Amino acid sequence: MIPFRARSFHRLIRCLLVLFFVALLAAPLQAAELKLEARLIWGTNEDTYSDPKHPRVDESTAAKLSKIFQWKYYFEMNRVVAIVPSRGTKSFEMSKKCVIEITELAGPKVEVKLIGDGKPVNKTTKHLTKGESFTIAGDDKNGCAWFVIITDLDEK
Amino acid sequence: MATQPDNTKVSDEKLVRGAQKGDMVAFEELVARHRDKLYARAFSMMRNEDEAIDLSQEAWVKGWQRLKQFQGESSFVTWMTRIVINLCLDQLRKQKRHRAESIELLEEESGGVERQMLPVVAANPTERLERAELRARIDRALGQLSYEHRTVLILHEFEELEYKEIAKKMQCSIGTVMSRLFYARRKMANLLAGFKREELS
Amino acid sequence: MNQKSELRLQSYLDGELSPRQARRVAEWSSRDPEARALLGELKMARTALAGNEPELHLPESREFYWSKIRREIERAEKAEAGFLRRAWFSWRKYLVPLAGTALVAILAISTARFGDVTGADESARHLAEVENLSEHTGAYSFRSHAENMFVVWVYDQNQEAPPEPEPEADLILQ
Repeated sequence: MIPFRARSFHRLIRCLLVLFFVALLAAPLQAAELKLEARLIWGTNEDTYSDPKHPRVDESTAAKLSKIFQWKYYFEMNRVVAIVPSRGTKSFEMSKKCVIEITELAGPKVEVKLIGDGKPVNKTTKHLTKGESFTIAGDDKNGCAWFVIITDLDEK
Repeated sequence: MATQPDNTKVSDEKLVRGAQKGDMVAFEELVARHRDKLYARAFSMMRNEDEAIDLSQEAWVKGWQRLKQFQGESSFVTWMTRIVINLCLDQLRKQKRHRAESIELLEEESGGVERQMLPVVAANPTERLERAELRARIDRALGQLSYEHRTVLILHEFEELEYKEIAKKMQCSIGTVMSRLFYARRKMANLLAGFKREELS
Repeated sequence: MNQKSELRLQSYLDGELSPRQARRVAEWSSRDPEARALLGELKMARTALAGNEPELHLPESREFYWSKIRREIERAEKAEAGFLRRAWFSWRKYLVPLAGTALVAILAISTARFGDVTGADESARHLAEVENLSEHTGAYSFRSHAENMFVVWVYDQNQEAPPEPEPEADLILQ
């Protein structure tokens, strides 16, 4: 028979072990790496554009973009998938002139920096919300537009 | 946003009063309600989507800036439509017209050949047409008119302005307005008859 | 029929004639088949158009369209007030970054304290801080609730008119 003091001691050890493993599990939740996809998309109202290297975006993305913006046709120019380390930064080279730098912050939040022609243009800090797309966009020449859509692949 | 009031059931008059006191949320609701109408008017005149979007946006900005001048003499949407029409007219004047349109206008104003050769449309080509189809055909026909003819038709038939009001807006004589309107109506009738023939064939 | 008569028929239709003139045109058109046919055509065109202005829908979401209008309103108001602000800008220029810093600090503290956003207020989750890093560009943001998309729209502050198309387009896409 285990003495009473010994039983209490064992109970204490068990509680501490449970707390330790919970802390181990909890830590990644607060400091997780992010697997993100960034797509560079070009929007136009000209239906004559055709390049096998730049296919039309999938229907659901096209539908989503057309409901918000005036352009009718959307083509995927580049797609980059990368892992942003916990509390770290990862560069997504979308084109020769466009780089997106994404930093994982506590929250989980991200800081998204747009770099055009090697110069910083804009920085956005935001919570990552489940299911929400994060898009940076702007006008392009000839009445067209560019979009960089960032998606958390871990949610897909 | 959770804290924004629900303006969807508030009348235009109340929203205008709120916006006149600086309530941008009220103004945003007015924009949401009437944006399609203003855009449609701009597009009818400009026949270009980008220009219509830009000009309708500019009209809303001007509307906000001049809101205190609105005294309720007409409905708010009528007042806003007049702003967008004026902006469209200014823009059309700034743009260079291509030579073909100028020739057509010159011929039409001098009682030209095409005007005389347009056959009189006896049977009504719009009979039994569903409203949506009629509107689509009217839109198609408007696209085939010159900007002067299209403008005078829109100002007279849709805006219900009198000849002298149109003359003032288009900066031309009443005689020119009458002549353009006459040609535009005849051309419209012939175009609609043509679409009917296409359908039957 | 000459042009003057044709235009008179139209004026009659549009109610632009005096009562006496209108009676004369009505009598004439009842007797003259050519006038009657032309009047019929003009009436048909007018009836077809009445109340049938093409209905078009703006090809942009409510949020995107409004965000551009709001930006222009704010820009115009800023420009208008600019000359007044210069007089007292010397002390106000410290106020804005201080307020900005305070706001960032509040956001940072509340985020650190409340950490995980699960169960946090809906609006807090959509809070974003957008900062311009270039003097040549501006940005504004909006959220499309229907499409569940948060957008940061970047624009060129110096661009007054759309640029002329270039044969070798120097696009951000290349």
